[in-house]
Amino acid sequence: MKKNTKDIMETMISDYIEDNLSKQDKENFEKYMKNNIDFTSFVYGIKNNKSIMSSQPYQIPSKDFLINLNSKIINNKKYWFGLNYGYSLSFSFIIVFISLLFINQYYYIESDDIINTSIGLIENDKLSINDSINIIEDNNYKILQVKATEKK
Amino acid sequence: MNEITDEELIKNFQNGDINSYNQLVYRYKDKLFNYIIQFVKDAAQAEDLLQDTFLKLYTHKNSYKEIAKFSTWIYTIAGNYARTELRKYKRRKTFSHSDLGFDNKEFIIKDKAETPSEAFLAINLKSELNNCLSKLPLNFRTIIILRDIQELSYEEISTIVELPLGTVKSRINRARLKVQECLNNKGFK
Repeated sequence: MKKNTKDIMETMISDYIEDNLSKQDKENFEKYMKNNIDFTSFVYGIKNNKSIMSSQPYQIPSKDFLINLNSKIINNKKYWFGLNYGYSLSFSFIIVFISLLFINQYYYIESDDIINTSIGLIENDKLSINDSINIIEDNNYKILQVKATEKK
Repeated sequence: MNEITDEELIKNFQNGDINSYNQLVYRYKDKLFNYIIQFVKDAAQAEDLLQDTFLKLYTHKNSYKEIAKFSTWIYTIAGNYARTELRKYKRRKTFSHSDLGFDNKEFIIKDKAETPSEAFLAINLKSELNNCLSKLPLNFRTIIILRDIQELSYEEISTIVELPLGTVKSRINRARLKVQECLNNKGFK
């Protein structure tokens, strides 16, 4: 669709107020403004807005800003390898999980055999009882038959 | 004596000089604060996002490559944080347009306002101007803030928003038209 003059002039407003139009375009633009009072006030409105925006009062961060930034940096260093809190937490869980697997493999020998043991071994935490099968006792001994996991 | 450039400072910081980091923070903290606050409008939140920006500069210093100006890089980081926060904020739908205004902020009344009514109009216009700005779509708003408030060049803006120069120019023009139309609708002509 062919653009009308107003549309064309509107595309030139920014270049006009920033003085980027060629001499010829500037003359045409100003000629159009002269004959269109509404358009002229529209252009001057934009020019005024621009100057208001660029002269907006500067706001500055609070005086504690640098202290707080410093704390944030120090806290961040506490996380592993520069990972953020979420990643650090996930990473920690993975490490703990792998460690538990390793400990389990290292310290325990899984066994389905029935083991004859004494109370002492259990009390000394050498066996982890899975199932008690039988208790044999007389005046001198007490022997337990258990399904147990023996610690190394 | 020539002042050391931002690019030299970041290079020094990449080589382990923490003083260069401090200088960059001093150079950019006010500019970026004023940039971020245009999006989030809350000083405490803007400060928090500014800290995140500088934290990222600290932890990701090696992400900066000298192919771009340091200023465009840091503005991109700050802008991303600000816009992400704004989107979250919009999703929560806990704000109204009046919250976005500058009604609760101090404005400096220009000395050239000769009468109280002129001064009142000037304050009103600023307030409405900011309201109109806040109603612009985010992609228009970002570039008009970068151009008319932060006064960055078209080239810098083009790098920050990753749009061709021509698109940036036409969007700025359209954004300015939209703001003025909005003001006209509110009776400011």
